[in-house]
Amino acid sequence: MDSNIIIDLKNVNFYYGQTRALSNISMTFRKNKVTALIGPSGCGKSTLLRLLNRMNDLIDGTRVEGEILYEDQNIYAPDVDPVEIRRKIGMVFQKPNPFPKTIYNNISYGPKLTGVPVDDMNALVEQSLKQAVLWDEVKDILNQSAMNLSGGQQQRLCIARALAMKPDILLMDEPTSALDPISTAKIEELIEELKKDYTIIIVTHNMQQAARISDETAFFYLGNLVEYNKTEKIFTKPDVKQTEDYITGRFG
Amino acid sequence: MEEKRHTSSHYEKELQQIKDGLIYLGALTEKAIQDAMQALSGRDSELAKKVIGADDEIDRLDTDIEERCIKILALRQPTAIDLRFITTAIKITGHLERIGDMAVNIAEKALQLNEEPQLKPYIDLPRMSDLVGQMIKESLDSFIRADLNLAENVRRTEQVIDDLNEQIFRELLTFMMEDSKAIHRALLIMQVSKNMERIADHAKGIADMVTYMVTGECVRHQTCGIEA
Ligand SMILES: Nc1ncnc2c1ncn2[C@@H]1O[C@H](COP(=O)(O)OP(=O)(O)OP(=O)(O)O)[C@@H](O)[C@H]1O
Ligand SMILES: [Mg+2]
Repeated sequence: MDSNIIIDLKNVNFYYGQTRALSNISMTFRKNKVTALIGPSGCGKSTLLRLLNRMNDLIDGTRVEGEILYEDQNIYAPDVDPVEIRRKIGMVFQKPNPFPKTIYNNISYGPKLTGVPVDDMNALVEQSLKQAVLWDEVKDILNQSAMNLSGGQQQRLCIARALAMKPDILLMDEPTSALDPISTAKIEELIEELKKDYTIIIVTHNMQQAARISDETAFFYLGNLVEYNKTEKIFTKPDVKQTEDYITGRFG
Repeated sequence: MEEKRHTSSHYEKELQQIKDGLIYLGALTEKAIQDAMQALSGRDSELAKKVIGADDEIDRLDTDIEERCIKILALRQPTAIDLRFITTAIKITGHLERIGDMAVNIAEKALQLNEEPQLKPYIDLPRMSDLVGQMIKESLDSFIRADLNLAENVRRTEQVIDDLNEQIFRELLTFMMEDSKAIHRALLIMQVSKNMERIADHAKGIADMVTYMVTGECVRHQTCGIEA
């Protein structure tokens, strides 16, 4: 496999019971790039994202066909531990969802739980918060409840929490849809920083956000991958008319 | 190109207003060229002054269209075909405004030439004027209809204009060599011809932008860097 490719989907179908939510998806995700997944509500973006770190396993009656290779390994192979996959491929959700614990414990909780050996937990907490550009705002209140933080701070805390697990890939499902423009700008700035060290796959309904932060954009419609191209290309001259109609806000 | 309509009817209306504005501006510049030529060939200095006076309206309309485009860029953040449409519209209005200035230049030369006896009957210049008028019309039609063939046609006519300009230039050179008293008038006529040629360049510029709008590819310069 091309060393720039970190995830490779081959003819993937996904079903909730009898209903097929993703049809014959073949695509690759590139290392240290930001890839945006766009498309109308219900087209399967979140489903695809959850498929990449086996979060759909937690939903009853789901079924996967095809292969999803993560660094050459099929993550749905029987001998693969989904918990280990979720550690390497972290997820940040739409609504900030810190644990009802202290800021410090929000970060330390994951590594402790999964038994990842940590020489110096204080250092890991500091490093993770710094990476998420939250350290300066919280360094004096680490023992206060995370629930007292603003929405934007909580979301950066959730990113710090994911980073503390030392993942390779960060999946983000509409991470700024509940945030004000300044908090959104901070998260976007953070994403651009993080891509030096991580691969980021982000679902967003904000076309301008996809255009601003992603290197590549995939447009989905009714469970199909319609177009996957460089972001600049998608937003200036997409190859497929359907993509153009969608991003310019024309009737479906 | 049959386009689906935007979900936002206001947006749809704003884009239509830009189209309408450009068509109207195009019609004004066509008329300015026609009148400037008529002022010259009909030795009608009143008409020449009218052309010069009418340029304010062209400038005003250009500013108005540009402002509308900038407003859409700022407020609607257009993408894809809408983005290509708006950037094209901004360029087109700029070309048309310049064409208006060329018509004024021609009218000014007409004022000077009308003060002196006519050097020669005007034959090629009216032809040029008709052709550039047609180029403007076709280039705007190609924009409204997203018609690549029409845009190509405009580029072809530009070549004809270039040839005519050169022919006029050579002809006037012989006049100047034969009679030094003809030099001043011949130079003025050369400038008229040169202005026609520049108008054709602007019409070609419009056609090139239409090609960009439709295909996403830049054809303005052989080595152009813009790539979709
Ligand atoms: N847990 C579930 N059980 C059954 N069907 C589901 C489940 N989750 C999603 N679906 C269905 O799968 C399809 C894709 O849903 P998904 O949540 O992936 O869409 P999405 O693109 O993320 O939409 P949105 O933009 O609204 O978040 C939809 O038809 C949805 O109804
Ligand atoms: Mg979703």
